[in-house]
Amino acid sequence: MNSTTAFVHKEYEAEKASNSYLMSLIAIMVGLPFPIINLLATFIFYMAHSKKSYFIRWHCTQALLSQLILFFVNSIGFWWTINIIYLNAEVSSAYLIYLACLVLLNLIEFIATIYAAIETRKGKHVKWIGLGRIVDAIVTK
Amino acid sequence: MTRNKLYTLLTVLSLSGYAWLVFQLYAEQQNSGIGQVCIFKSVTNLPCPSCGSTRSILEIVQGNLLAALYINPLGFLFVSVLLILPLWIIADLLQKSDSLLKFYHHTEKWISKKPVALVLIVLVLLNWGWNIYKDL
Amino acid sequence: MEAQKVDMFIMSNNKFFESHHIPQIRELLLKADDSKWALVQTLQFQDPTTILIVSLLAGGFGVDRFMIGDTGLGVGKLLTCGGFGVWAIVDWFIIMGATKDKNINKLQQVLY
Repeated sequence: MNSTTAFVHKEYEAEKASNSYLMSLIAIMVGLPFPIINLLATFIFYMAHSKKSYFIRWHCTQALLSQLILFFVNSIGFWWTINIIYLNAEVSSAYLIYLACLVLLNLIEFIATIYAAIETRKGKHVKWIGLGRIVDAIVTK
Repeated sequence: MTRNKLYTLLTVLSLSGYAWLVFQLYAEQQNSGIGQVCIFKSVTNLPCPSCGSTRSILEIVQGNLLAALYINPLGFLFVSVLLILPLWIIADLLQKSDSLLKFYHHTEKWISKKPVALVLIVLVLLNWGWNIYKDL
Repeated sequence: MEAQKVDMFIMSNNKFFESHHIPQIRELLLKADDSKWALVQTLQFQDPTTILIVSLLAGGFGVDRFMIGDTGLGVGKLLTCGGFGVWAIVDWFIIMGATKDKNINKLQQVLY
């Protein structure tokens, strides 16, 4: 899932960058059923650090983007589930497959986030496959 | 606080406000809420100063102004803010002006004045006391 | 300003600032005029640790934001019940940095 490259910077940057990943994990405790809560938490953190150094902004953006992807996937799952519970829609096999993919994706993201939080805390520049390139393009030096 | 930061923050706040209201209306139609969301209330069992705002807003939307006032007067503040803010932001963006930012700084200064701050604090505390008394 | 005075100021006030800002503050103070010394000494800085404790206890009511002078954000937090609790929790992680930023802003305003 991840590829790392050595990156030189200062101690305080590592802590703030690592916290950006923590945001999405902490918010899980508050708003597990609501996909938007995690997104909001990372977004507030991102906004608060939009004037900080490149390393911090880079990791805030990666955390934000990963939550954005999860938000779309989870929102669909959330409303689908609501429809089934309250409107008595049919539990189709498509729904079950979607749910399985959703859980798998969340699990992967969860592990990757913990990994990224630990590694950035040590000062390593963790780039996720695929997502890292997009972040490179978005964040200006 | 820069212009872009404030405008993004306010946009996100009002958007999530609207999303929350739509969700609540939907849940009311289905006759099923998700129950308690206020963390303060879940922890202490006491209502927080703005507990009941959602119920108040929903009453206003349905035209029951008195009922809304009784649940939580803050609902009126929220309704006016939610109506005005998005329009103001859009108008500012179209005219490339920063009147909202100026207004924000102006209000911030005004609120920080001792007499004003004192009155507002007392009002919030009174409202909170009433919330606890009503056992929202 | 004399180096001795500056070093004394930094020693007694370093907990109010980010550690990577200290060299910059030192230079600023050294370049500043002696007449600013009295002003600098009367400045009231907020202790990041105190604010963090306030944030943990009463962050849902925006008290932490009021204390560091972000009145607008404080009102927003108070009225939205700590931004549905999410904002309050995110602020636990942001507030120490924000306090230090406010402190250095205060110092810069006096020195320029």
